[in-house]
Amino acid sequence: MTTTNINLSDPEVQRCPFGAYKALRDEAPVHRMPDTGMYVVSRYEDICDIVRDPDRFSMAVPMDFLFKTDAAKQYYRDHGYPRRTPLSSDPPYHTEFRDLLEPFFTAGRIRQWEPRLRELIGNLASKLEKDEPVDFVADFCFPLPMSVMTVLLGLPLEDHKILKHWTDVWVLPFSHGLTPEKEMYVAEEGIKLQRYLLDAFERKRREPADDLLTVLVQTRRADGSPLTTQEMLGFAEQAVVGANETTQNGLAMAMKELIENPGVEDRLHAEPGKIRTFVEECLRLQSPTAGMYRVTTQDVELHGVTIPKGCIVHLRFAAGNRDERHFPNPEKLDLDRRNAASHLAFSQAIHHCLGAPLARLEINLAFEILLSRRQHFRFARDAESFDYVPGLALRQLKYLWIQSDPAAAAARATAA
Amino acid sequence: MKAVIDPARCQGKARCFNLYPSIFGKGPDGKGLIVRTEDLDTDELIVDAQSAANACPRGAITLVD
Ligand code: HEM
Ligand code: HEM
Ligand code: SF4
Repeated sequence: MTTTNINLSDPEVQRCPFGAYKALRDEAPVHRMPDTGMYVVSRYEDICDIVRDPDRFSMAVPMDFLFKTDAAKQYYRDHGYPRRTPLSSDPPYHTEFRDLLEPFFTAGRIRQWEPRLRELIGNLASKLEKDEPVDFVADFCFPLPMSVMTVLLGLPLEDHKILKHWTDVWVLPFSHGLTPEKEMYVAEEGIKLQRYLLDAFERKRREPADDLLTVLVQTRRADGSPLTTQEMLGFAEQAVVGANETTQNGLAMAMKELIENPGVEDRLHAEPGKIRTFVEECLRLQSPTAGMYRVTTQDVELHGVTIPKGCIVHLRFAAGNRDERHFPNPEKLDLDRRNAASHLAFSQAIHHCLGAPLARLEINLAFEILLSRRQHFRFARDAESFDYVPGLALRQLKYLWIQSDPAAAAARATAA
Repeated sequence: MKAVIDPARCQGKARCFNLYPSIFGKGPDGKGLIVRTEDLDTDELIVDAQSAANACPRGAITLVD
């Protein structure tokens, strides 16, 4: 493989993208991918600069590029609202909209959610307590983020399954090669999600509660006007989509890292305060959102490459997070790394993940609770084989069969 | 390690003190200020300070050793 034809969508590359990342950083820090024509940026500093330069690198990437058939686009127009997430925009609109939502994600708010999160995580953790192998992805990572989001939005907990289904379908167009029939199916399910949310908005107008959907229907702009239906739908869709597979993979990959790195589990038992850095190191190394997009508003010159106006730039957070120029000894999970949390897994600056405090709380509580109940986590079955869902932007384990030793945890609890 | 806010860059966008009030506070001018002036000496404080630096829309927060 030469640098010039590195293709991050290639399943071979996706099995282990780290060699390709290193080659890109060292030899082609601005790399035009052969199949899509997107420009991949892979060094830490370059990504930081670009996310701070919305004038030249706009977030307003046309979502239309996701659907290839006119039938699917037309279905959206005829039956609902176009897929448009209001935060996928630039200042000043982005600033105004985001400022309206920030109050829902403050330290005080997050502290209020903690007991509920502990309860949800505790219930799922109990289901893992079997003396046989369990699939950590299916039994824990799948249900957790969407259960949490369902509760925060103010929807009935039992709806998390259907919401998970719609969310999984919603992101299908982000991977390549959907058939026209499949695109149509995505559009139909997308409209079902919109109708479900529209009903929920109606309910919240009638019966306001302390939840995110109520915030959406009650929010007023500086001039007193409410959010438009399109804006509320777009944000609700982005919240469920943004919270789902990302957190799911953050959890799964953290368990994989825990097992693969000898000594880490013992250290976390001895020094539970290190769980914070452990979680950041896992986010850094595995970047559940491997990359996101910007579009150039003018010709831009970077490392001797001219990116023409109107091109899609792919910010490869996962590559920047292993850049030796910023993280010494980058491939190592290091519980003493001082700048671990300066990673790009949540991006930076204006579009820095709105849900980051929630995702962090979820993953930290999950490991705090799991480690207090079980011990000696190890892979069950064929530990050497891992399978990832194909896709460019998200890194996603299909399954993770693990086992643990309850007796050891019980012994430690008695000794303590 | 300590957190520092560059007042020339800070525009009082509030992310730091809304999210990490044990380290950052709101000054009388509405801008961010450091309330934790001692060394950031736990993993929790270091991770929180760095998260704030990443989140700050203005890039106004830096960490110094
Ligand atoms: C310079 C080249 C390469 C570097 C720097 C590199 C680096 C790494 C690293 C650091 C990991 C550990 C996984 C992690 O940190 O999450 C890994 C895993 C792996 N690598 Fe590579 N690698 C390179 C080339 C290759 C090649 C050429 C292959 C095979 C075609 C390969 C196959 C794998 C596989 C199968 C895994 C396990 C993936 C998993 O855990 O799911 N790597 N690689
Ligand atoms: C480990 C879990 C998560 C990861 C890795 C992640 C990653 C990201 C990244 C990288 C961005 C920035 C995109 C860019 O700069 O182009 C982002 C934005 C966003 N995320 Fe997350 N996210 C996670 C969890 C969540 C959760 C739980 C929510 C729930 C509310 C959420 C909601 C959002 C929203 C609304 C944005 C858009 C912010 C904006 O554009 O202003 N995310 N996320
Ligand atoms: S987040 Fe940045 S801009 Fe906002 S108050 Fe803090 S330092 Fe100032």
